[in-house]
Amino acid sequence: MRQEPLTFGEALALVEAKVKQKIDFQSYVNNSSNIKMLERMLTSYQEKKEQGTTHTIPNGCCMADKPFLQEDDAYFISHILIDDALPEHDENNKPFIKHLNDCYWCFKIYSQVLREYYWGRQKIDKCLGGPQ
Amino acid sequence: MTKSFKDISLHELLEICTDESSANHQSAWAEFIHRYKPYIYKVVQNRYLAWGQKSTDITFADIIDDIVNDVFLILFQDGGRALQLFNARNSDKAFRGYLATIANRLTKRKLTKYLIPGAVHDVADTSEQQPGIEKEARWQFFDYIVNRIRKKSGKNQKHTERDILIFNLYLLEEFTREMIEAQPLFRNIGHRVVDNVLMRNKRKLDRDDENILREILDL
Repeated sequence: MRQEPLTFGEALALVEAKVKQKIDFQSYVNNSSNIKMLERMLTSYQEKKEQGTTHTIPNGCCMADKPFLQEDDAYFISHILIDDALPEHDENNKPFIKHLNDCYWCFKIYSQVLREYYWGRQKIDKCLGGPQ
Repeated sequence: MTKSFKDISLHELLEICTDESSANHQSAWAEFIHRYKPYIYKVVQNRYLAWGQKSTDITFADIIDDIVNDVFLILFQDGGRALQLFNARNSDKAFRGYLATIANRLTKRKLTKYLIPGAVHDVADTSEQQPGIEKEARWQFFDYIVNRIRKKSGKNQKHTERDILIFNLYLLEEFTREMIEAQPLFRNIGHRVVDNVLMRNKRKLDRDDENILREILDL
């Protein structure tokens, strides 16, 4: 049972697992601030799904030393939990991929979150007895 | 009339240092050494002291001088190729970070290979204790790789941007193939695509690129 604070990427993996109805949060974490974080992200996911996902990359954000991925939970929630299931997934992601190649700081944030997300998924799969 | 180099900008200084045909080439290098040798010396000295000054009886100053000379060899060689790699020429801070990266790598290599094998792994890596030094320089390599691969790919390749991202995640962030394939961005790519992308992009970096990246990043 996870006591220490979750990283953002781990939380994404848990919300994804919840959305796919594999797990309930309490089986994995019992720290109240972790639960709050997960529920907040789940609510954000539900709102985004109802609204539809139309996120754009702001122009010049990274030139100003303010990489837009920094603290942008919503983008990752859309990217990982919603966009991934869309048929036009590949085409929609092209501007984002280009941006990650243009902006080192966003690339760093993206790789950090996705690394945490990967290991979060590994832990969940292990608990569930293998990749689902 | 002899041009004074004391007040010229970093940008101008690097331009002349990397232009062997310039009449001021040697004077520019003299100014470069005057401006940056104390800093390089300090970086090497700090690195050396952090790693193992008690493990050898070779005199301290000789070793430091030797490593600092090696740093300058790297900077001088191939018409200043290592300096040509540096793009943020308006930032002295970023440039010092770049020099620190090279100096740290060479110190580590020297101590590991010739002086105190194994000692480098016995003490904590001090790079984390120097926030802002290596990290500041690292984006230069990222930028370099992106530009080189874009240039060599041309405009007709459909997946150039995707391939660059895969390559950088592997090279700079040490993602494994499994980690890359598990990402939402790449879940639809076919089996062995990652392997092919890595192989293809390695080929796009020529021998000089590889040498310079290996020299500086220990890749």
